[in-house]
Amino acid sequence: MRKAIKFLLALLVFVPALKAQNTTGNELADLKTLYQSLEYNTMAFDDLKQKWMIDDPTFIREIFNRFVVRNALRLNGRTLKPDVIKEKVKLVQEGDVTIEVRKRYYDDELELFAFYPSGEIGKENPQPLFDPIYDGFLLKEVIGDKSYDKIKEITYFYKETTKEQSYTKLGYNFDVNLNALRPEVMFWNTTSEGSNKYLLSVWGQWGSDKAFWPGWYSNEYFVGTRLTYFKSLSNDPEKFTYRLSVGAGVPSNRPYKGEADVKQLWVAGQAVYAKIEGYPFAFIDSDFMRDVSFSLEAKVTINDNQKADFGKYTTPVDFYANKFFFNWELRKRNIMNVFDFGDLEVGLNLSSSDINKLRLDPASSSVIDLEKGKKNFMQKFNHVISAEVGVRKSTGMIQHSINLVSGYATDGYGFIGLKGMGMVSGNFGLDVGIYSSFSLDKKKFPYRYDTYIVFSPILRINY
Amino acid sequence: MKRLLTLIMVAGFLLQPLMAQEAEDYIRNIDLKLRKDKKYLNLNFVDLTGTEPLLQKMNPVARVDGKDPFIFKANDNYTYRIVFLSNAIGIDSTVLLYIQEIIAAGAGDTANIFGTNQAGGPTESIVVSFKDMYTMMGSDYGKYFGMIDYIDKLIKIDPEFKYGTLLGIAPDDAINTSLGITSRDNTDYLNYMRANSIHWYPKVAQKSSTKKGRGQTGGTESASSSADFRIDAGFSSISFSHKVMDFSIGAAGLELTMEEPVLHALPFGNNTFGFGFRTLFNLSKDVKNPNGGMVLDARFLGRVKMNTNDVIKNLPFALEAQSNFHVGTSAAVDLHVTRPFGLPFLNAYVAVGGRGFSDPYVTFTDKKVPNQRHAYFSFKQAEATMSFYWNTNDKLSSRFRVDVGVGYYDMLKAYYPGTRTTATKTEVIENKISPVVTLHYTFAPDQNDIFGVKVRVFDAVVKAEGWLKLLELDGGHTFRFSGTVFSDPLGRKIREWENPGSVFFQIRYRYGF
Repeated sequence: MRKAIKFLLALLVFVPALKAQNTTGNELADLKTLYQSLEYNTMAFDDLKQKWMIDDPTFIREIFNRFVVRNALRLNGRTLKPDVIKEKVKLVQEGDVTIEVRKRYYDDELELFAFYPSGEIGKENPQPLFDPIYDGFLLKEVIGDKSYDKIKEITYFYKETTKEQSYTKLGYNFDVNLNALRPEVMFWNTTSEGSNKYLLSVWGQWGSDKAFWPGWYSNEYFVGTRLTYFKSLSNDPEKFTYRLSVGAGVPSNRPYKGEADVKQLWVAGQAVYAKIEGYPFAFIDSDFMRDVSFSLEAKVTINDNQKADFGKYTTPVDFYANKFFFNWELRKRNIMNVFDFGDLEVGLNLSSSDINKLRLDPASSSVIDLEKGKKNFMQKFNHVISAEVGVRKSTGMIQHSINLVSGYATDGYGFIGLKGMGMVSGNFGLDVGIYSSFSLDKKKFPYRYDTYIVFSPILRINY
Repeated sequence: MKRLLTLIMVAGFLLQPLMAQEAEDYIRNIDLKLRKDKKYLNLNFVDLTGTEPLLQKMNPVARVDGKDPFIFKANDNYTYRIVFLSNAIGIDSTVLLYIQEIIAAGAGDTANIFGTNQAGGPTESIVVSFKDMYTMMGSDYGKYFGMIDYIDKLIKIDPEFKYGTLLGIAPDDAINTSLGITSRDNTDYLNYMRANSIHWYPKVAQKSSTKKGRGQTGGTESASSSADFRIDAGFSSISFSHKVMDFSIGAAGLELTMEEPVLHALPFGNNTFGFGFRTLFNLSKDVKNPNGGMVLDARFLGRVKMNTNDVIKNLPFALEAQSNFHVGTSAAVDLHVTRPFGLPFLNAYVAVGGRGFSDPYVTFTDKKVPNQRHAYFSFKQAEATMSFYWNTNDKLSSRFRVDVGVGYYDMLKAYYPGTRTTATKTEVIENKISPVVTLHYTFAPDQNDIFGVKVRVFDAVVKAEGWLKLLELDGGHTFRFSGTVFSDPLGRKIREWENPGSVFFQIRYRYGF
């Protein structure tokens, strides 16, 4: 009986309390929503608003003290007991507190103010010391106009954390990619149906990395036109459906002459160049095969230079020249994401290129092939098989592509190298390649270098 | 069990005041924000005069915190602004926030005749605060709902009705695009030429629509009026045109120039004096709108042999300047076509001269053959480029342009034994085809051209040209400080005929642009 009376008593007291609590809970939620809805909503720009961390210990004490004086510190919406505040004060006194501040997007007022223990900075979901304030006018009320203005002036120790806007988009109106090693200027585009795109560009290429004739060390530059077809528009420049490049070789100057004892390759005729690239396995219903690209690239010298084309020589001159190369590449892209550093990709290359040993002799009316009768056409070829593994990131503020490459030639030497390309915001960057030969007999192959270093700055503008 | 019950009871009692404190915090904060924030409040309002039956029916309005009930004054000089929130995430219906009383200038009652209304403007004060309104929602929902019903009906009756807004910012005026914009018509080309060319280009009264990325926009424009004549005069060139030289599909102008566009030479550096005319043809149907359609901009120049070497060596504003080669009497054409067939803007320059080697102005002593001199001549120069334009924002204040293409020149060497002034032997020493890249930047805030610079790289030589507006007098007389700088060749040795790194300064006067 006593238990029943107690239970009823409890029920009488408890139910109204619960009811009141429930009503107040809804009211609180409504008020909170209303409070948060008064301002023009700019949540889409939250990450782009000016943001910084105040880490001036003296200024933090000053601000913190204003909160204490105004009894404005809240945790989960409630005021704090003095002993809790005393405990938090210790953190402030030890300089272990940082304040995060964010400005509104369209004006100069603050919209976020939060105390954080220093240890929370950098965590994915940092826990603030107290409830953040999302209203600059409330903050101004608490800390006063002068302190509020001082926060906005940023005249104290602070760390800027504002995100810089940077997007990399593939331009379909025009795309000017100025890179001395491989420039390209896309100048015309059209759509025939749906969201497909045909792009027409002029391009250049200095040497051939795959044939182990890196630009800078080559006296031949390829220029031509290129057709790129996108079955559907993409922001990844490598997601084209196919790309066809045709061009011709032209003699080029070399800003760097290289080692004196290495014989440079001469241009011995007019060469034509062609390359076709694409994703021929995309029709296979397989995620793996969809990102496998294939390319075939060839240089063919169609017209040998006559002796007069080389200029006047009073003494015999021996030289080496490359007239043909054929490069095959199979590359698997987007294998996996490597710690947000980029997508892993691997490539397998097979390259065949010939070397001709020639002589200009004043006594002869034509260019002399010094290997005539000793080597047939096929025997002049050297075959290089090489593999690349690397990561590529084509979005974000910094885009890059880094590949380790290693290859071995049927001539009996090999090479290892590092190819890297980095771009900031898709506009400025650097293209670098470093290759080192091993087991190279320089007497046998005097046109080969021990080390190749090539680089070029990049300026790219696309819309 | 007993303890648990006790605990729950205690918690129930304790939670209630805590939540009340939290609610009180929110109400106070909302009230503070409504009073202080003058820019960002995304709130609407309707203004009702004091005689509005709705308001009179609501009298009196109870207020909290010991304030007397409020009475809406039945007077046309009194306006009551009902402020409310109608659209927000998580807010399903209109929420009334507060009522502001606006008393027309000079209409105050005796109670406030010495109050805030003395200055003569309207007096504004919040008479029903958010807390009052919030309390009314719970205690006198009929009145509260009456106002909401009235507000909602305004839109229901007239879907075109627009509530007043308290938003003090203009997001439409601050729309940013990520990568700037590039025009789909001739706007960028004409903006560039107006700021940087020595010739006059027609202006359009209304700015053309532009858009970033894919898509098209259009705009109606018409040519605007300009001064009767236009002149651009500096030490290196002079241009002149008059309204009578404008014709139905374009305009013409005259030009005198000492400049060399292809070879590495400062003004006065190629031993010629150039003169000619320029015509601008608008090939579109709407001839009054040069922004649309295709525009052909052509300069035809004649260049006559002249000893400018003696001039440039003695110019005080030309530093390290020489004229080491001869271009000779020649003709040149400079064409600019705006986006033919969807291609980029195309530029072509061709100059061809007669092969005359007699009486060179600048000769060099031959190091190999004693008592022999030689001189350098270039009779052909050409350049073909594509231009690409872009702006950092839709205000078109920071404008970029890049030209990419190839340039060509020949260079011949002529030999003069003894005291002869006619060449006994000539040889071609250069037939140079080289890529050319030029980056241009123009700063023109509010369509006011302030600063321009371009950097050109051709045949391993960097040429930089820049100008800065010095002053603009009434009537449109403008003075610019302008300069041209050449670098030494980069990555190769300087050739005998080339000028070393040199600088040329000048003041330019412009009128009618």
